Amino acid sequence: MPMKKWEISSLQAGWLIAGTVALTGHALAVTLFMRAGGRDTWLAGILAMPFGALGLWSIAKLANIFPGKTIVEYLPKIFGYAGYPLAWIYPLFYLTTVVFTLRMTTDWLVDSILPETPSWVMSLLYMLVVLYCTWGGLDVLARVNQFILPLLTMLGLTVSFGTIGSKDYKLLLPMFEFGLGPVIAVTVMGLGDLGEMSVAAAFSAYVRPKDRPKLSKAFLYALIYEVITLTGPIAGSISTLGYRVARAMPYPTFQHWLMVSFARFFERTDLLVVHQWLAGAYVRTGLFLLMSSDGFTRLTGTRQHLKWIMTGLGLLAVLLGEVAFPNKPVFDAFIGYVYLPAAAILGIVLPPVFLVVAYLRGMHRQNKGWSPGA
Amino acid sequence: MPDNPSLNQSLEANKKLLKQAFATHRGMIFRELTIPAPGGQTRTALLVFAEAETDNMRLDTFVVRPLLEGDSPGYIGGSLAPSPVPMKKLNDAIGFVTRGKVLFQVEGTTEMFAVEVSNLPHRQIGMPETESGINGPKEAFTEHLIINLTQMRRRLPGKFLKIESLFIGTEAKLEAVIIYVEGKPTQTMIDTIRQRLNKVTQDGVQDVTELAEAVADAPLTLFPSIMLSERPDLVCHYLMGGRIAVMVENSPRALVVPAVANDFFTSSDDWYEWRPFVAFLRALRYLAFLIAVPLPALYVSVTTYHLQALPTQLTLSLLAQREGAPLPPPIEALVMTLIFEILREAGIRLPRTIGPTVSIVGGLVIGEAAIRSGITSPAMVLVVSATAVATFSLPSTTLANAATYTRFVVLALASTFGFFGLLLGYLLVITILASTTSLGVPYETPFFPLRPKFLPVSFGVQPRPPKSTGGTPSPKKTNQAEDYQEG
Repeated sequence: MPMKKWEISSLQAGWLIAGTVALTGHALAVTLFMRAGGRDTWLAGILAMPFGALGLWSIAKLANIFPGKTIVEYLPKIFGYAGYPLAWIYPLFYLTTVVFTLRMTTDWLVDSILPETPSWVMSLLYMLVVLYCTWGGLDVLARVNQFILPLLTMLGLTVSFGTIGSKDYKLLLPMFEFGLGPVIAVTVMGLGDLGEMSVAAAFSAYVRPKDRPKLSKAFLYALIYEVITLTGPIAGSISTLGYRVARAMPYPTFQHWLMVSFARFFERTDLLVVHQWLAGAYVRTGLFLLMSSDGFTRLTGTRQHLKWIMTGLGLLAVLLGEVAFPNKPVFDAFIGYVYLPAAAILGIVLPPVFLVVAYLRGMHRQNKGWSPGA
Repeated sequence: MPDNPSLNQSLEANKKLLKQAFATHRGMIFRELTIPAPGGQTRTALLVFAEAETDNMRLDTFVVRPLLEGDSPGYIGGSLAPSPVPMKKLNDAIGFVTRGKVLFQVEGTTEMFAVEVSNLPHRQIGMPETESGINGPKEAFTEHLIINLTQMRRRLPGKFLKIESLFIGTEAKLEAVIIYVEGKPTQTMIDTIRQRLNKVTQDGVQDVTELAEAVADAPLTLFPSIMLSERPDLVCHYLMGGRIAVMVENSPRALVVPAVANDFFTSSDDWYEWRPFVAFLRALRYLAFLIAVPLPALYVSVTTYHLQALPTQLTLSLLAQREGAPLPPPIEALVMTLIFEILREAGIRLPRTIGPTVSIVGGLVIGEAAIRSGITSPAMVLVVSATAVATFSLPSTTLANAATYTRFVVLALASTFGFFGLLLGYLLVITILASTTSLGVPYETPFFPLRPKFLPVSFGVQPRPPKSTGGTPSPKKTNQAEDYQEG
């Protein structure tokens, strides 16, 4: 696959990470967030934001220290042979994200609109369309995202303003009523959510050379977008339903849609949630599948077979989704105990460490265009 | 004998070769003249030309008389005559003669020359047929390349209009031209087009549309990535916008690249209408496309799988209408859409005077009869009719065809998986759009990737440019194609 098909701009990079991780806070992990944080859940994004910024800034700087190198390529450069095991973890994490996003999406579809259709049929079909997109390279995915993300945001804002009459923002207060425990717990989860952004941002190697210095700014905008889109729907759910009811619901952020009606005639706009979920999961699945295949092929020296490996991994994700995640409690346990902590470590804790080690080893001097203040 | 022997031989040898080559051609004239030679001697000159394609007056003025007056074969007729072109190969010579040129060779030399003396029959400049508009010029291209180029030069006078000529095909070579405005498209784009045209080996190209696959980035794309125009004024507008046009002999249309999605929502009148109104019309056409593709699929998915999405009264009304309908909604939608396509095709194929009548009357009669007989429901007829009207409002037939194919795919997905299938279709279409490029320019430019400075142009609301002060436009400021490709 020609590298030109993978090149994107810094703007597209920012849009991509914003579009990729929004689904986690809105849908995939929202129940866990609510259970952990109760009324203070809406603070998660805001409190985790500085840490998220640190992770993203580190990734952007690493992209400038190692221009054109992916994370699996520069880890061995930083740590020598010790970097290889670490380098393998990232593609595995990406693949895991594909697996559970896919399975959770189709599981939700079975629950909500197509109860008699086997989930594997939907997974397979969905994956085939995702594969068609990823075969085109990162450039195509970035353009798809540029179409989808504004539409998702506009629909989200529509439901937000459409339900404003039902909201009582006093329900968000008082803060810290149950002490710092729930706030810390949900902030740690928020770290996982924002850490996912840094993990996703590891595609920075494919940002056009002239755009790389602008990456930090693009990522900052993406972070602000993500914090708003994480805080808004959660705060909306609590202010509409109250935190006790919201906590008891499987997908409280989507309950808003049931309250929106157009001209008092079309009262069931909740079908649009399917669009929100499927479109959001599309870019997410596509990006992580691309990066997973990219990482594995670079580590194994099989880049020339990228399309085949990508197809194989996509089909493997369908299979693993059916086998590894039989029901929602398993999803929740996996997300809460494995996925979000791993995302926080891989996306927020480790990148600054990589950056410091690279800096201490003088690697930043090898690239003239970079300076710590750039 | 080799396939394409050399013509650098004696007069007798060349005459023999040409006689053999034209043995099965009717109307080829081989004329021998006795012309003066230095030292008071005489020698023979051979003239070969096609009777019907040659202008006798020009032949006499530019070739026969100068030869009889003793002019040198390489410089006959003086400075006003077309320059003689030396012929190297037999196939080239055959091609020149059949295009109305005369071949001649003088005894004692080994060079054969060709001179332009053609008088090819051609159609006069007429009105545009497929891009007719209310405003703007009323001229269309003809099948005569020289006349077409004249129309272009007249509209874009000055040195910045560039016309590059090349020949396509292997045996029957046809002349093609690449036209652009200097400094507007990138050199890479021009080189790419040239390379692609040089690779064309197809003989007997009859229309420029046959080159579309060769010029396109991907030969099989769902959405059109090449524009075709029969109007020189529109082609000039596109050239000024940094596009490249390709024309060939015998084709009354120009092929224009790069073409982005927005171009196919532009009608010929848009260039000459009041700009705010153009913006409104453009938005309406986008809306029409959004209706034309998914409407039947949306209807089928809602009525088959998600009735809960509709208001109760509407649901009851739809169910009452469908009472006794023999076909399930997916099949009903498929049949009705197919019937509409057949009517559309019939309307196109029939003579222009009765075609639209057949489509409209056929649609009305069939629709009314289908509802009365209970084969289909009024709601379904309404959906298919709305789809049809939306399709007709698309200014480009290639875009309308793309909308039709896409509609069937999305309908099949929605019929099988309801709203999930519909959304899969939607994601698929977006991905196809995102994957399509035209000469390297992303298809949805200037929307995705976003080019804010081109957005007003795309909606036709950009104020008219200031009056030109003359001279060549600055390449730095007008290199739009390069801007398109920036990230």
